[in-house]
Amino acid sequence: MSAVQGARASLGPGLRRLGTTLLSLVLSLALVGVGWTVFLEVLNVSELVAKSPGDVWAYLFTVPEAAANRETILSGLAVTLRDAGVGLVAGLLAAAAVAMSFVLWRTAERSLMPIAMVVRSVPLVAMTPVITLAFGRDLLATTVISGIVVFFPALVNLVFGLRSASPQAADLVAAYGGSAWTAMRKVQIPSALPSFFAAARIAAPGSLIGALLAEWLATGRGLGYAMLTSGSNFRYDELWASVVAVTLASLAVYALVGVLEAAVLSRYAPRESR
Amino acid sequence: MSQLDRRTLLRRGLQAGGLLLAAPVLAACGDDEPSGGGSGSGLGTLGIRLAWIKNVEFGGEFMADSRGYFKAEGFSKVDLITGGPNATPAETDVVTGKAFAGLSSPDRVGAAVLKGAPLKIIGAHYQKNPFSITSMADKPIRTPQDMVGKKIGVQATNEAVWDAFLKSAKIDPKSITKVPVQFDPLPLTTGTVDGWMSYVTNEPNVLRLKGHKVETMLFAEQGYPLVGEAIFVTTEALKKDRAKVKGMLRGQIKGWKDCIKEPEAAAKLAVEVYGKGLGLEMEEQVLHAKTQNDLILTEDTKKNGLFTLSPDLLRRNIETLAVAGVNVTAERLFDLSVLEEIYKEDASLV
Repeated sequence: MSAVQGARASLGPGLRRLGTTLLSLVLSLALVGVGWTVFLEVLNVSELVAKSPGDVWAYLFTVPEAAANRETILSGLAVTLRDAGVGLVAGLLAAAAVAMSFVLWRTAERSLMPIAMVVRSVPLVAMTPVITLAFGRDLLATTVISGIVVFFPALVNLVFGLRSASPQAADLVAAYGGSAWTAMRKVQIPSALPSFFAAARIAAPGSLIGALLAEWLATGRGLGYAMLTSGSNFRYDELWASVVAVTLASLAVYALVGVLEAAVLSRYAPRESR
Repeated sequence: MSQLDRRTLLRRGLQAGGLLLAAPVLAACGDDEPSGGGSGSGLGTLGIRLAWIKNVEFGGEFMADSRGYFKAEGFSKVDLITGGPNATPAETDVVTGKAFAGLSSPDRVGAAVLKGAPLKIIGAHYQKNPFSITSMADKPIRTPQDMVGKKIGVQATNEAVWDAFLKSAKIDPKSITKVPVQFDPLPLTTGTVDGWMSYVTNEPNVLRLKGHKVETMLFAEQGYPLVGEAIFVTTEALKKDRAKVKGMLRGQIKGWKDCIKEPEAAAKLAVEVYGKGLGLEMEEQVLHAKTQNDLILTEDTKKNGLFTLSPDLLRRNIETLAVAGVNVTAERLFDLSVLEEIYKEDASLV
């Protein structure tokens, strides 16, 4: 199969995936909207505090200050998405590098995995002040914090994925005189792709949470901080609109990774993409 | 792929289910202790939402509760509801009926009123604004101008006050690097920040007791007249539960008179009873109680009674609020009539 054909063939599942993803997105959004409204109706929470989907819509689109409101939310969201995106990429790359070194050198895994587990079990909220002392309060700090959220689940998934490669295929590479690195490239990495994307899908919303946390505790920018200040200053419409924005962004990123996954897997691991 | 959809749906369903499961819990939070009326001749339960954790900042309330002043007014039970860095705003708790009254600052109550919350301030513990900027004595910040070009640690919950203070001091916020911090003043001692925003009663005393030499710049002394620890209730309570509002204020006045006279006893209550488990230190709490007396006692309160605002102070508060972007009239935000009534009826309380 030539590369062009392969690329064309991989487009189909990607599009199909996009369709079903969009459908399930719309469905789940409708469900969340209904649940939200019912929740407020049943509980009779003060409407000064609990805003309905209609209130959020009004805040963003129909009130006279709507344009300024949208600007507030979108500029915050842009910062948060940047923080989360950089963290996601950094976390996944780091996890991929470490996972490969684990598989290539057993000693690396034996000496580093326990450390990774210890770091993992320290609550991030408790670790954040230390991180800010070490990395400052700028993009680097948010990258480290949201990268940590991404890193550990991705690492475990990736090590598992790399190990799941067919030993016969690896043996074949060895028989033809290929090195361990060649086996990694030709056999193990392609067979770890499904695990990689499974990890990325879980990690994408996680990176947003990490970014929000970092903004709250370290940088004081983005939606993470805005949500905190709007809550304490009785700007509940802004707070609810921010929550909606983050939720939608999270769903969108999740769907995007899913589409990417379908496209790549149909090329490299046609069985899993079905 | 169909499998995947089912999984997605199942997950979404579970999320929605989780929300519904959480509902009764949240509901229980929402409407326990309906703090209205009460039965018979008594005034029922009194819920006061404090502005901060249970330290001697609320010494007067602790005194009133432990010495039975609230009971004597007819309350069967007193709930002092803790605030703190992660609590919902006091305005929210009072609007939703979780508490009968709350303690907060006029700018926050004002912001809530502008959003339609039916609240009114009925008096204030602190006649002087309690916020200050603490700096290390070798790099002192004595005037707002000293902050220009420096890094100041500001907590998210205090951000509104910070903005308002800069506006009233006519300082460009961009000329200062604001650093988001929490409530442990360590970054000040390590030099991460040059100034630290807090109540003058809290962090400066903590640092002093640890042996640091610090300088404080009190907002009140830089032309920022907003009162602190404002007591507020709903407008409905003022109409329908006036007796209850009055009983609460009378109890608070008696409690605070004791607290002012006996800072050690109030500190002891905070450390050993109400704030037990918070790790409060006796020495620091006594210092706190003494520092806050300076914020409570002014020529006006000595003459007119605790918690009162003179017409001049009230006017300056409204002016400062307007500068800070909270455009609200005195009538809409304040109702000091209950306090006046109390002192008129019983001059011995002054």
